[in-house]
Amino acid sequence: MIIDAHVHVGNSTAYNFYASIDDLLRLADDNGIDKLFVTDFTALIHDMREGNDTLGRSIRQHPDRILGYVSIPTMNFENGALEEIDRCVHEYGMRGIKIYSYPKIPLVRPSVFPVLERAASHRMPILAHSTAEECEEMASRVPEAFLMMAHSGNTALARGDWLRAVQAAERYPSILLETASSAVNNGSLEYTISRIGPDRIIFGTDMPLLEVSVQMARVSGAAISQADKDLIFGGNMARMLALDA
Amino acid sequence: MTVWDFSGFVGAWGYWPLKERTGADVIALMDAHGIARAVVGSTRALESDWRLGNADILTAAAESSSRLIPFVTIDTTLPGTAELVAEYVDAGAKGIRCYPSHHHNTLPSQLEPLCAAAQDHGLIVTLVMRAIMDWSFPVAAVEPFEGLVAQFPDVQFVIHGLNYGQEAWNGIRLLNTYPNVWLETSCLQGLGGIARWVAHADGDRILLGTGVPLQYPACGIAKLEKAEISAADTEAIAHRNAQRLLAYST
Repeated sequence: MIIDAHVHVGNSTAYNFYASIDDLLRLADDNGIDKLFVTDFTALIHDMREGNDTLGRSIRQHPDRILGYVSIPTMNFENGALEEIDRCVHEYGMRGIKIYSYPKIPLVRPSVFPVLERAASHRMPILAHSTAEECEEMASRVPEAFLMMAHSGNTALARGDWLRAVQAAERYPSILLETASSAVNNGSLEYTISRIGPDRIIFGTDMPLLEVSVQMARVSGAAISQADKDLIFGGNMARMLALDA
Repeated sequence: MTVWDFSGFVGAWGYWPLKERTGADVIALMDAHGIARAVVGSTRALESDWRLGNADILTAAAESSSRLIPFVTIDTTLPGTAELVAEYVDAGAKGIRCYPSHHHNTLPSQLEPLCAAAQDHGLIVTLVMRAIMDWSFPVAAVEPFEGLVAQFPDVQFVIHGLNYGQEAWNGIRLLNTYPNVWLETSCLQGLGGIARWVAHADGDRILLGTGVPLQYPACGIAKLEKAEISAADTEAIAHRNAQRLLAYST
């Protein structure tokens, strides 16, 4: 089973993408992806509750294909985040939380820790658009939360420092590395597995921003075992969410 | 699909542990991914010493001339560098790679003597906006080089390393304006990127690049295989355009 752990639905004039759930499912079908773990773009950058509700309705329409993140931008950490997590779990059965710096201010602030604690209490993994240093601070304060470092350091924000991301995962067992990335550095997955093993690497594409076939090939084309590929493509996420393989 | 890669490298690598260092290593990786031939530049020339790096790349290509096509790297900081072009041509160089941001040659006037020499010797000039798609790497803007491609209409310029967004549109505008401009795909990572380029630009001047061995070659090939373009465009981008362009080279 292939699970894409990093998917955006909605519209973004800033990134020139316009993707409905049906668009995303077509992309998933074209690329052999079984389930999409989705965050709503409106929730991240415009209206948290409206966006999460939109995604929730899609989950109800496609319960076998769509998993949902409760999207929480920084502004909302101290403005209704905890209630929103509980609401989206109970109303829509969302399985994870996406935290994102919007506006572009530090992700790690006192109000993020209660969000992490609430995620942990629901056993929800957190997709964190963050740096290695931020993940380390969050993991040290709330070690029971599962932190998936979005892009594994391959962002401008994290200076492209994926080696530092691997170090963070080595230091903190609750940090997982998510693969979606413009950077497709040869040997990076092989190196990551040599340092932290295959069990904490999570496949993501960042669709509809990044080319899905490239993200698939980054894993399928790496010089790693088929068993490791299976874990990365979906086994690890299925285990974390207790999904049937 | 026959694949010619326009953005290969050979050499040791200082950024992260990389297994493939020699020409033979790179060819083994090319074989694993079905890449018939690759235009290659030296990582030493990119990172530390371009003169030693050019010696490396010319040697590696001479040993595997049916697979590796050498492009030399010249940083124009030192005086008289353009005069070296004739020597490199004699040694088998088919083109020149310039790294404006890595080598602080971001003023087009710094590259004029080199382009004049390339014109005299029939060499292709690659302007590398981004060596590979890595967020820690410097990026050059394509717009300042418009005057250069206009000034040397007989030189074929390859714009290397554009990704999505405005930088891609700037490259496409250049390609649509100047018939001596080509784009390569190694850093184009946006969804449907190649199809978008083909929709807005001349597909006959788009070149497949994977960035082998610094980037996973499977990624560069997958984006072309999956691109929603005609079979003729796919074939052109995969290798026919590269063959046609390299025919310009002496």
